[in-house]
Amino acid sequence: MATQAKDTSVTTPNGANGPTDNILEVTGLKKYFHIGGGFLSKNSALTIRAVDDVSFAVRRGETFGLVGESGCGKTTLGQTIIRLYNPTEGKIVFNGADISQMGANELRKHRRGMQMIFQDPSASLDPRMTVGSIISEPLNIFGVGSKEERRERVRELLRVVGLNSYFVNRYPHEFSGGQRQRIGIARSIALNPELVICDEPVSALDVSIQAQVLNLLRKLQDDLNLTYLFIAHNLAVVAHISDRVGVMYLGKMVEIGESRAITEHPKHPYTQALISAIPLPIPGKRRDRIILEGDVPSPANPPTGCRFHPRCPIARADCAEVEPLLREIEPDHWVACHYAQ
Amino acid sequence: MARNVLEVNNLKTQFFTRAGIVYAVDGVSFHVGEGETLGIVGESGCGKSVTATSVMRLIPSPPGRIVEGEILLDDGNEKVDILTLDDSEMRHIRGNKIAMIFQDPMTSLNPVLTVGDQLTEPLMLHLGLSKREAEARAVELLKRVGIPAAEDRLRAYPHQFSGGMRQRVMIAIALSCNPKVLIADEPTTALDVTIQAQILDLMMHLNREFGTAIIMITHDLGVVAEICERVNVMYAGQVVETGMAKDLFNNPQHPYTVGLLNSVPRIGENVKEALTPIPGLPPDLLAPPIGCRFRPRCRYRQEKCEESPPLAEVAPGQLARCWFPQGRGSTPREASTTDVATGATT
Repeated sequence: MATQAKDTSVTTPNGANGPTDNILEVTGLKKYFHIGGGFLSKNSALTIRAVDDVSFAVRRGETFGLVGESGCGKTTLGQTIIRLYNPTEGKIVFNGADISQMGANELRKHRRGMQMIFQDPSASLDPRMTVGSIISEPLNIFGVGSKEERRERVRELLRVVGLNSYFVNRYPHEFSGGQRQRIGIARSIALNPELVICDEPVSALDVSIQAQVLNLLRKLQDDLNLTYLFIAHNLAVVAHISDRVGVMYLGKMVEIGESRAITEHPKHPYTQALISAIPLPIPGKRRDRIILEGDVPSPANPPTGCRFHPRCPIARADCAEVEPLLREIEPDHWVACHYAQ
Repeated sequence: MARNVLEVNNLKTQFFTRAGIVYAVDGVSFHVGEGETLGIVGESGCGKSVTATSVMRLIPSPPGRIVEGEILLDDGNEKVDILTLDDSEMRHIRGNKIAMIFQDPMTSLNPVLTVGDQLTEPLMLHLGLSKREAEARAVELLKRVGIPAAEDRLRAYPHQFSGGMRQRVMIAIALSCNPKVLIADEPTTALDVTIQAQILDLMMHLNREFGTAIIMITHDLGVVAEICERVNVMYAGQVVETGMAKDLFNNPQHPYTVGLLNSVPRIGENVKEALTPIPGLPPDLLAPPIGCRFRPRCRYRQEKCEESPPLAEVAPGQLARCWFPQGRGSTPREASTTDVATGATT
């Protein structure tokens, strides 16, 4: 067992000390939303710190999972990276270019390599467009090929995601949830992107269909050399598909590490509680459950110091004052906690 | 074996739509013992929620109708078939003997009434308490489900509570009259996992303390494994497998149950290994497949499967609706004689 683990660490090309090829680097990213206050007043009533000083990198060809509970900022982070939101502060470097402050025209060139799959396939597909026009829209926008070539490409994409190519003239409502998600996937890979941001791509689907879509995503990654940023609340799903996982809590990244390290040896008390809370489909095998007290605090008024300290089972006095920064506790395993061991 | 507080026999609920008859629940039988926890698990459209709403007699009519079957409730004094009761008698049962909690506590609580109003209403209605007595009991109930500062929270409105707290309020309302059976329809699906853990913990605690039988309806196999003693697996309006949770999870017999268990990614298992999904889609209940309903998606199907299999014992205490059960130690179907599916279609 131990030797096996050793082997993988040696063969990992993007090991901690080896040369790293990062497709995406996010540094000190912040996204604040100002709420209330009226449009003439300078001071807004509330500032929601949805994403608050997050830094991480995604390596080329890997799947980086982003996990956390509702309101932790994982979706906002994904949408800020693809610039659906303008960042409040911080840098987003995609393929070596800083896209965080780029204007619309220049951004378009870079965004071609970065696509998104959304959670609710019925809300993200226009009900009045045929499947063919939905999938060819990105091709039209970027003027890829002739009309004939585009039509052929749409048919090919449908086959790639496991749908019949004669579906081109049908409308989204004629499909089941799983099939609609396949249409969304076909649209996202139409321009041969390098990075695909998957925001809860399977959480609206039943388990038997969920497994079909997860397997499809994995196959596409192998065939098309895709890099995924995979955002979901279900840690079992994230750990299953990801090489590395980042855990978010209340706008902060609290732990980053290899998928196996996160699930088997979580270091942050929040990650530990999160894993222990997942019900296992094995009767009688109950984990020692860490039940957290209370609810997640509001991101408009986050706790001082470590944001997890009011619910943390190992919090000490200084946790309320000093904010812990991410530190490398083991090779390639980072944790933002003063007392994690 | 404890006395059965609820017994459902050959329940058939159908919806009469313009497109045709939807066979939402088609011959479902099960029972729940006193203080027992039964899980009903299945994917969307399998009829698990319609089964629960049928037991509560809350099927919207039209278009829905319970066309056949009996639902026997035994509260210790008498055994009644609640399908024969009139509306006023049913109101005496609902919320009193059988209570239900729903997936989304925000839509099942009234947003313009305080939590106190909603908690005291069933107490005054069913138990005949005065306003003051009901309020005292309401505070006690809120404390029991773990709501801090219960006296003050009585005057708060549902929107002032978080999702987990709202579900606690729903549980307090449901348990206010000491029901015999609590039906929980996806009670934790809208909640985050750490909050889900709190709510499941609370439900188990109340089940042990008050002996309330729980019917847990969920799509999450983990939740079932965690809190249920027995499980019914439903597919396309029918129970396809039933047994003790530990047997069913360790040794699933029906190919659908096998497929469901193989589809779920598990923490701590070989990461990055492909899952084994069930191919195809669930059937359209306007025209369910002839014979075994899982046949079109089943990899073990044979000619025999064009006949409807009965729900019969395939291993000790474990019943499956399948001609060719896949579990270990399953008996060949020809030899089995115990057919418990009352009135199974022949």
